[in-house]
Parts: sequence; C-alpha cells; structure tokens
Amino acid sequence: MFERLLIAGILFGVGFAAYAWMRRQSLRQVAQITQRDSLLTDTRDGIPTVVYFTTPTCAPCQYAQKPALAKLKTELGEGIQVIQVDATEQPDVAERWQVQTVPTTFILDADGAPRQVNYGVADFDTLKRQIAAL
Amino acid sequence: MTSVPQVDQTALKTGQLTTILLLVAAFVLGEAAWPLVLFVAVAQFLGALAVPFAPYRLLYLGLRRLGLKPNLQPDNPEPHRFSLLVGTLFNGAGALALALNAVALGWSLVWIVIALANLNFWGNFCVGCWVYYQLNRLGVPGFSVAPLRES
Repeated sequence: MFERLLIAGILFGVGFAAYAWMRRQSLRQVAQITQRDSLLTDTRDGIPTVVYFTTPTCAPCQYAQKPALAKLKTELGEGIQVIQVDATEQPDVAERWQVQTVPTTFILDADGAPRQVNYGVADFDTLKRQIAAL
Repeated sequence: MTSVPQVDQTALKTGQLTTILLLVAAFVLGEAAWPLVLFVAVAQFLGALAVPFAPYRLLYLGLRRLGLKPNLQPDNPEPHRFSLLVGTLFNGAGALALALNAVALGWSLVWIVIALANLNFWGNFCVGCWVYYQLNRLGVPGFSVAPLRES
C-alpha cells in the first residue's frame, strides 16, 4: 500500500511539475515578444498590465474571470491596465501568446515583462496578490 | 424572455474532488478495490442522469447542511452531464479491466479520469464539455446545446 501511495504521490508531483514547467516555458516565450508585440503598443508605461484572453462562448470567463478583473480595476483604478483579447477574433495573437485555453491571464510588470500566467480562472485575490508581488 | 441556464459550480467541484479522492484511494488499495472504481462509475452515471438519489448529489446536499455554499453561475448543464458520462465509460471500462486482471489498462483508464478531474478542479477546464461543444459545432445529433454567448 505504501508503494502505491508513493506512486500516486509521484504521479501528482509529476503532474504539478509539468504544469509548473509549462507555465515557466510559456512566460519565457512570451517574454521574448512582449517588448515589440503590437498588442501592447497602446499600453501606458510604468503600470502593471493584465492581458486577458477570452472567447464569447467561455462560460467561466463570463461568470468568474470578467467580474474578478472588473473588481480588480475598481480597486486599483489607474494602477492597473487590462487588455482583453478575444481569441476567436485574434487567433494569431492567442497563438503568439501560447494560449491553449480560456480564460488565460498574463500579469505583466510595470516594465512590460510577463511575471505570471494563469490558466483557467484566476480569482480576485490571486490577481491582487500577483500584482502586489510585482 | 428565455431564462439563462445555471450550474452550481460548488456541486461540480465537490463531484470532481470526490472522484479524485475515491479513485486515488482505489489505486492505493490495489486491484481488489475495483468495486470502488465501479462505484465511481455508477455515481457519475447517476449524476449524468441527474437523478435525486445520485451519490454525489446526496454528498453535496450533506455538505451544504454543514455550511458549504452553492455558487450558481450561467452555464449549460448538458456538457457537464456528458462529461460525467465520459467519466462513467472510462471508470466502467477501468473497473472491468481491473476485475479481469488487465491491471495496466485498468489503472491507465482510471488515471486518465484522475488527470482530467484535476484539470477541471484546479484549472477549470472541462475536457468533456469541450468535446460536447465540438460535437455541437459539427451538428452531431443529440448535442443540441450551443455554448452561452458572452453578454
């Protein structure tokens, strides 16, 4: 039984490690494009940015991600900028940013460097914590 | 005016977590625990049928009495039910394989369900729902519910 418990633990560990590695790779690749990406040309310098990928048919985007971002914007005001991207309208952007699923949110620091990526819904507290840690 | 369908996300999360815990417990206990895998398959099947005595539903109602809060959100229930049916197939086949001593096949099927349930629980990505909507897009009969549009 102990052996199987160990195997289950290893499988979970491998799963989470693969997830963490995927996140890091994604951030690394996105870091190479953010300095010249057309998506960010209108962003203001010196302010953290949330790049939010969604689609019109994404239910969690509608009921969870969008309200979380709206709350964040209300709380932080001019201290944050949010760029929303419809992955169905701009599939090239989604591909460039390595987006596999929606919602996906990237947290960019004040210099425009990607520091966090969230696959799936990132709630208000998570987003706030990630921005505070920049 | 048509009403927007809603799904209790807490109920879904409860079901996903229960599936993960039971299947991992079955794996830890070994091949003799194949009835536990079968139980998960049956529970998922009854959940897919949305019968009032579905085990996951009864568990959730029990947890509600202990203070768990529902989280109703606009969503279609049909893809989630389809997802449970897919889980039923995998777990049912897995239980059968384990009962017939096809150990590698059995646990492979079970771990696929564990992986997908984790993806749904932690990442909010429901693979079964995605498949359902793809089949809907292709016009496959029986998959008549289209995704909700963002308002």
